[in-house]
Amino acid sequence: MDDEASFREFVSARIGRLSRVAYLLTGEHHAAEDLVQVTLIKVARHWRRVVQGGTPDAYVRRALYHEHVSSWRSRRGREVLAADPPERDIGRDESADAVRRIVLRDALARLAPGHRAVIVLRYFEDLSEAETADTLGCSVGSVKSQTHHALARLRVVAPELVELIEDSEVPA
Amino acid sequence: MMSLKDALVDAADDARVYDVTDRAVRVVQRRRTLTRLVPVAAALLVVAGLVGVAWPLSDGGGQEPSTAADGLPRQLTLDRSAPVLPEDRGVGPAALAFAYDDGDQGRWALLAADGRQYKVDGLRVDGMSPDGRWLLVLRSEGSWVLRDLTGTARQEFAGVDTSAGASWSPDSRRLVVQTSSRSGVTYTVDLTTGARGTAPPDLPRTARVCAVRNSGELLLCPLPESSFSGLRLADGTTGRIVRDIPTTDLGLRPTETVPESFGAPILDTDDRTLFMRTHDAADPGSAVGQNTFLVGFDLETGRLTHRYPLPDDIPGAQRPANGGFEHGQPDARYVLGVHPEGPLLLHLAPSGTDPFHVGSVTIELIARDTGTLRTVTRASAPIGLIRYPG
Repeated sequence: MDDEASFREFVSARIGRLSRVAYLLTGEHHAAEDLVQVTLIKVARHWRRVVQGGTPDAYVRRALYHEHVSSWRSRRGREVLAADPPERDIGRDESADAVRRIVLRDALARLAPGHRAVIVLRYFEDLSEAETADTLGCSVGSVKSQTHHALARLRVVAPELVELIEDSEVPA
Repeated sequence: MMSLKDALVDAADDARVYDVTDRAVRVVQRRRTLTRLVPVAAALLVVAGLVGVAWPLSDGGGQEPSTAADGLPRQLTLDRSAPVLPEDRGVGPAALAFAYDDGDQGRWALLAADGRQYKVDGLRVDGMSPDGRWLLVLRSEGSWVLRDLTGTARQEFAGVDTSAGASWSPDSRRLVVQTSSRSGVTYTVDLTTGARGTAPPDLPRTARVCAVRNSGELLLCPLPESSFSGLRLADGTTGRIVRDIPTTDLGLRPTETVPESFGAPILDTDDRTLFMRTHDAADPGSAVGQNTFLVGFDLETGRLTHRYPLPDDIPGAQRPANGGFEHGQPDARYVLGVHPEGPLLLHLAPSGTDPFHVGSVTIELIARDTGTLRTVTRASAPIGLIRYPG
C-alpha cells in the first residue's frame, strides 16, 4: 500500500472521532472543519515518518490539540471579542437535553483554549493525566492545575452545570 | 445521573463529519510539487518580489571558496550602484546572472566577464549562451527578448508560458526556443546569422527539446509530468528520430531513476557527454534527495562515462509547530551548468542561526577526474539565485 492509500485508510477510520473532538474544541462547524483540515495537512506531509514513529494516533491527537491552541493564539483578538457569547435564546419547548447541550457548548466557548483542551482530553477522550500531559506537551502537574482551573471556570460560567461537574469522576 | 463525560458526548453529537481528506492530500501534493520546483519557484518568487518572505537570506555561513574557477568570481557581491544594462551598446559577454532581493521586489543583475555589473530590465534572466554572448530575458508581457551582449542585435519570442524552455548548443551557434512544452511554437535560431526557423514538423509532440547539439541534432526528453523513459535524438532538419535510447540502455543501476524534479539533462562542453541527475532507490526509505548522482552519458558510444555521488539533500532542522513538524530549508544542490573544469552545482545551504532560512548561496565545482566537490564562488546576501551560461 502506498503512503497516500495508507493515510486515507487511517483517516477514514478516525474522521468521525476527529470531527467530534474538533467540534467540542471549537464549538462551531466551520472552525471545526478548518481545524481538522489543517491537522490532516500537517500529518499527511510527514505521514511516512508518522507511521515509522509507531504511534500515529498519538501524533494526530497532538497535532490537533496543538493546532487548536495555536490557531486560537493567532486570532486572539477576534476570540476575545467573542469571549462572552450572546445571551442564550432557548425556546420554551426545547428539551432539557438540548438546553444542557447549548449551555455546555457556550460554557466551553468561554474557556481558554488550553482549559477547553484539557476538559475534552480528560472527560471526553478519557485520557489519563499522564497521557494528557504528553498530548499537550506539558507536565502532569500542569495538567492537574489546568483541570482544576478549567472546572472552576466552568462552574462560574455555567452554574447550571455545577451538579454535573461535581458528580464527575476524575480518572487518575 | 449524567456526568460531564455524558454531557460532552451528547454535545459532540452535534458535530458533522468533516471529511476533508481529499483537500488535505491535494494541498500536500501541491506543496511537494512546489518543493520539487524550487529553482524555478525561487526565480518566480524573486520576480514576484517575494524573496524577502519566502526565501529570506540571512547570515551566511557555508563553505568559503578554496580555489577559484576560471571566469567565476570567488566572491559575488551585489553592486547596488550598477547601471541598467544599456540597450544601445554592447557590454561584452556575461560571466553569470543572479537574482537578488531589492527590498520590495526581486531583481536580476548581470555580471559581465570584465567584472562589471548591470541591472537587467525584465522579469527574469532565463538563459545565456555558453559563450556568454547572448542573453535571454523574460519580459513582463510574457515574451522573451534575446539580445546580443556584444552589440545591439535582438529578437523577440511572444507567447511564452511557464513550461517554456530554451537550449543552446555547446558552441553557442544554435538556440532552440520552446515557448510552451505542449502547444507552443518551437523555434530554431542560427545565432551566427540571426536566421530564425521553426522546428521540424515531424518532431514528436510527445516530447520536448531539452538540448541541441552543435550539429543541430535535437535531444528529446519526456514532457513535464511524464516519467523518464529514455533519450531520443532527432534530426534537426527533418525531426526524424535518429536514435532511441531506452532507460535500460543508459547503463543506470536497476534501482536508479531520473526524477523529473531533477531538471533536464545538460550537454557538456564537448558536445557528446550528457549529464543527468539520478536517484538510486535501492534503499526504499530514502527520499528523492538522497542517494543521488550526477551521471555522464556518452551520446556517441552509448556508454555511461561518469558517476559522481552527490551529497544528500538533507532536510533542514525540524521544529515542532502547531503539533506537527516543519522542515527547515534543505541543504539543497541543483545542477547549474558545465564549466570547462567540470559540472557546476548551485548549493543553497540553511542558515547556521536559523535553519528555516537560506544562509549561503555558493557555486560548487565537481572535478572531472576525481569527482571532488569544491566551492568556487560564494555569494553575499541579498543574492539568492545564480544562473550560469549554457
